Amino acid sequence: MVEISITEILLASQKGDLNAFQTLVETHQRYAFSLAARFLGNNEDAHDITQETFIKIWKHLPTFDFRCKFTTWMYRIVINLCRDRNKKLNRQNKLLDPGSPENTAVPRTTPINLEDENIKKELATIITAFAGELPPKQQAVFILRDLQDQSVTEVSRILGISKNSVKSNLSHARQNIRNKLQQLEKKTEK
Amino acid sequence: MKCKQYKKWLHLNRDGELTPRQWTKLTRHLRHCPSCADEKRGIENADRLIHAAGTTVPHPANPEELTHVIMNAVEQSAGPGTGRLPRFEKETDRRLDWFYIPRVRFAVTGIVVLVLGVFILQGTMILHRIDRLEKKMARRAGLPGSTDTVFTRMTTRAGVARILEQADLVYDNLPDEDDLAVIRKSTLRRLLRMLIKPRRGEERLIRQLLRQMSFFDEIDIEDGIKKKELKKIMENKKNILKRIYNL
Repeated sequence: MVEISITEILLASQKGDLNAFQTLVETHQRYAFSLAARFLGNNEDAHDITQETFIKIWKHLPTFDFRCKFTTWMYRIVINLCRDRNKKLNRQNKLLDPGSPENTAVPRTTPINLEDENIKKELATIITAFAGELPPKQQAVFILRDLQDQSVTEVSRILGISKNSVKSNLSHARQNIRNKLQQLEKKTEK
Repeated sequence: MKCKQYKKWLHLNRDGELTPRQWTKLTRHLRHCPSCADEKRGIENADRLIHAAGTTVPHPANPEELTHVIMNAVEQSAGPGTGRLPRFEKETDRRLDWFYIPRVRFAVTGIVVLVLGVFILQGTMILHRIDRLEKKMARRAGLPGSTDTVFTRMTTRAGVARILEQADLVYDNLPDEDDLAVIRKSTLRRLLRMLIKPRRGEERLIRQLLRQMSFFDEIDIEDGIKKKELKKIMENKKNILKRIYNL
């Protein structure tokens, strides 16, 4: 039922119906935003990217041929825009700002309470920042699979790479993130 | 399999990331390998943190405002179908998905090497057989054999010319009919093969060959030239003749 209504919205939007497009924006902007925020590590840039994404979607909707899911197409656009944005920004400087994991007062010799929302937020900031230090393909695979909870098949479709390439990059990305978490833990213990 | 590969698999511990067979292998390995079992515990710990981070979904501070901003921008922009999409990564390697499986990769490489090996071996054997036959015929006719290898003679123009001269010589000196039939076959086979793809400058050789075309109909298919080869030669015969007489 939901799929049909999305199809209808898309078909109407393709014909230039602004009301239908507004519905599309309302239902999908949070996905685009969360992906962009995880990619870029801050909400202001994610805000801009979400806006740019929907402008691009509006301009290119007639070329959308329903061969893939709309979200797959949207994620591709978000990722490409984020990559372009990342190239422009000096990520190193961003990672060393006061919000970066190196300077965050994180854990702890006592076990982490993962039910605590603040700790979860803190962790999300740290892991997003660590993901930002990964090579671009690993970063994209890790964010889509582990943070956005997309299936391996979906990730391969979004990024246009093979499933085996997704798995290989995922394995490396998780290993890198884990190493970084261990290093951080050692630092905080000192 | 080495622990390094299993440790790689340990990181692929969520649904659909490992095949059932890989799971079974990994589980069996973990029972006997304390180092990998330790690694697994560490990974699970990190996974808990990653999973917890994944549950915190960033969301726009004011979704209505974001929608409003987007819709304003959309209204001011040109209509649908007016822009250029950002480039996407190539999707070609998805078609080669299967090739990432190491076993398939080794199998394909093995088959290619095997086929090439057989092809080269067979070719070499045929060339040697021709060489032997030719030497035998030359000996019987009381002529000195060629010092070039068959390969050199067949791939250079001068070499082919020498074959023709020698073939004529051998033919003129052959004492009995049976031997004559054999030399006809071995010489013609090589020359006709060359005829299939005649190159410029080879007209003289082709004319000489055509002089011997009268042999051709006498050749016993079963006993020399392969049927397929013969068919190809016959198909090309008309074109070859046309080309020679138009020169």
